[in-house]
Amino acid sequence: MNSLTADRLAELTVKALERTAFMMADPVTLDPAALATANRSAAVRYGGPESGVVTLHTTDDFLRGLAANLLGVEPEAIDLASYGPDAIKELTNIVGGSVILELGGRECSYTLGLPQLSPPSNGPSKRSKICCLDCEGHLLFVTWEPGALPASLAA
Amino acid sequence: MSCNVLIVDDSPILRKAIKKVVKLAGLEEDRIHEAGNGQEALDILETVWIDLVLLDLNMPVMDGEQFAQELRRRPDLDGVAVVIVSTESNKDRLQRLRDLGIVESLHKPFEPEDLCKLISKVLGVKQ
Repeated sequence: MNSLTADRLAELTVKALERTAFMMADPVTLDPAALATANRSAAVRYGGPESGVVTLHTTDDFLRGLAANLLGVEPEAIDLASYGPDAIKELTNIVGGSVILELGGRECSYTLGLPQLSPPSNGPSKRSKICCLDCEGHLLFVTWEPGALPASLAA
Repeated sequence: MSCNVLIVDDSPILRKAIKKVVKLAGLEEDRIHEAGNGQEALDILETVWIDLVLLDLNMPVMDGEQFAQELRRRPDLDGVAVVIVSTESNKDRLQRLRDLGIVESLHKPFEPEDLCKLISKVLGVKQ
């Protein structure tokens, strides 16, 4: 089975942003204080040979930009209450799908759960990998935590 | 292109994003339909002839695999083409879908051009 580095996690997320929302992002040094300001989070769990969870943390401003790019409208036109939660869940789903493909390769036997909104981060655990991206001026944090509850056990 | 396409995905925002790409492929807006899960898709198929279903797999209520199984049980819907558009990469699940005759798939994240080409390929074969 493959593993993931924080750098590879960042690469997968950059690709997801580019392909899904035409958004450019660059990895930046993780600042724990900045992570604490991320007030929007979503997580997706996976099961299979091993289980784990992928979580995205970000801000309203990033979500507004993400939703605007997905819909092809100006950020000011976005009703964040309507589209913000859906936008972060879908990006989490896509990054989670990229992670299990990376872990399992073409003979992948992992299964992905449904993405769910989650509480803001308390900071990464010791076993998790985390990356931070600057996406058009807004920060996006992605954590991968192997060994978390499998999708089948996640309510 | 005078074909009807049904986008089945539980994410409203992604349905809208895919709809933009489908329009770029040359389909008229009033021929593009949306459903939030497999059951909603079956309900639409009861009333509208659909040429192509763009199908997500991981959805609540009725997932994409259950929808595909139901579709294949229905001789009246035999001509409906299905393309999987999903994060799914589980080899066993994808094999079960191939066994149902669904061979075309696009893994998220995808390039919009790839979806355009796939739509043209599938609908081109049908026409």
